Amino acid sequence: MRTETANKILTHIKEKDEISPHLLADYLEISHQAVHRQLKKLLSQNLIFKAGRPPKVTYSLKPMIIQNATIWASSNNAPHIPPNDIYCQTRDVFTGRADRLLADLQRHTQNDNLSFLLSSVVGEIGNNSFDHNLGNWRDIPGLYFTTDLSAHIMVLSDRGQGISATLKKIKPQIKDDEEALTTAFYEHLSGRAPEQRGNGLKFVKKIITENNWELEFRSGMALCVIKNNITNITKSNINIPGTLAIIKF
Amino acid sequence: MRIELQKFGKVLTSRPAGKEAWLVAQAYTLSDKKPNEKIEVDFTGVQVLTPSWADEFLTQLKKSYTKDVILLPSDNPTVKAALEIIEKE
Repeated sequence: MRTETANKILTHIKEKDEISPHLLADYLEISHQAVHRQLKKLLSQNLIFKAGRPPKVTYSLKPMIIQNATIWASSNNAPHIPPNDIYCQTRDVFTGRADRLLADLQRHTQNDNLSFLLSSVVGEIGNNSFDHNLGNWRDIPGLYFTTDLSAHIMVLSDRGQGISATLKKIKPQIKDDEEALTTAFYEHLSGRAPEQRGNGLKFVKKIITENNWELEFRSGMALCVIKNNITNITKSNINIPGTLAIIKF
Repeated sequence: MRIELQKFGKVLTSRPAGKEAWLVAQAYTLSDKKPNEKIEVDFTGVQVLTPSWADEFLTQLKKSYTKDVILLPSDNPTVKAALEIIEKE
């Protein structure tokens, strides 16, 4: 639930494209501390992003496809069924869309190898959702899959069991969502016994890192960010019961 | 014998597709294999390969015919990355 102040901040950032906390405080006529508290909350909700370093910090709105996917993925109750161009109820639908994405990427980037690599990352993340959640979706089955190639963003999300619940079946000692993500991105095991492999997210990490792209991967209360060749797994302020992956290339 | 993976598709990403390809290969291709005959796996024409598909097909192939499997070189970056990942096991 957003406060009136938070809504005013979002509206004003939208009007200005980007704005400093100082100008926001002046506009809203509230203290700098109050502005920073609100900005921190909005950052944690994946609605805005921060650029620059003090004293030249500015805030901008996150692209709508990221905001919408985050709201869909984090909703406590079953959200609406996404539009047909976003929703892949079954793997077959996802496979068809992933095949079309490859052709779109080739046209857009004019670079076959880059398109193949991006397509492999999308294929691995999207298929993981079906591999690990078939018959076990929380509410809405399938995958939320959308792209904005001109903004170089691709988003995938599911309302499945999440990484922690999946991995705990074969590694019960996992104590929280951060440890589960660490296991998924670094250790070789599979969440779907008796298959012995669980290399999907290690593969994704390798491709993202080697190509200097960015990945934001959320599951439960954990967040994995791969950026500038560095992988950082931290506690998140948003709960994503299934998974949410944002790829920037 | 040579198995041309592009005959299973140019985009090889999902586990079910890899599993199906493995079953088909066993039934219709590998059944003709002579003792000690080498199996060359040809990646020509494959655009996208993921570890999930490769695990269902190549890992099973290598388990079943340990000494006979030869993976032919490929310039495709997803083939290289997927093989590197599954071969770490």
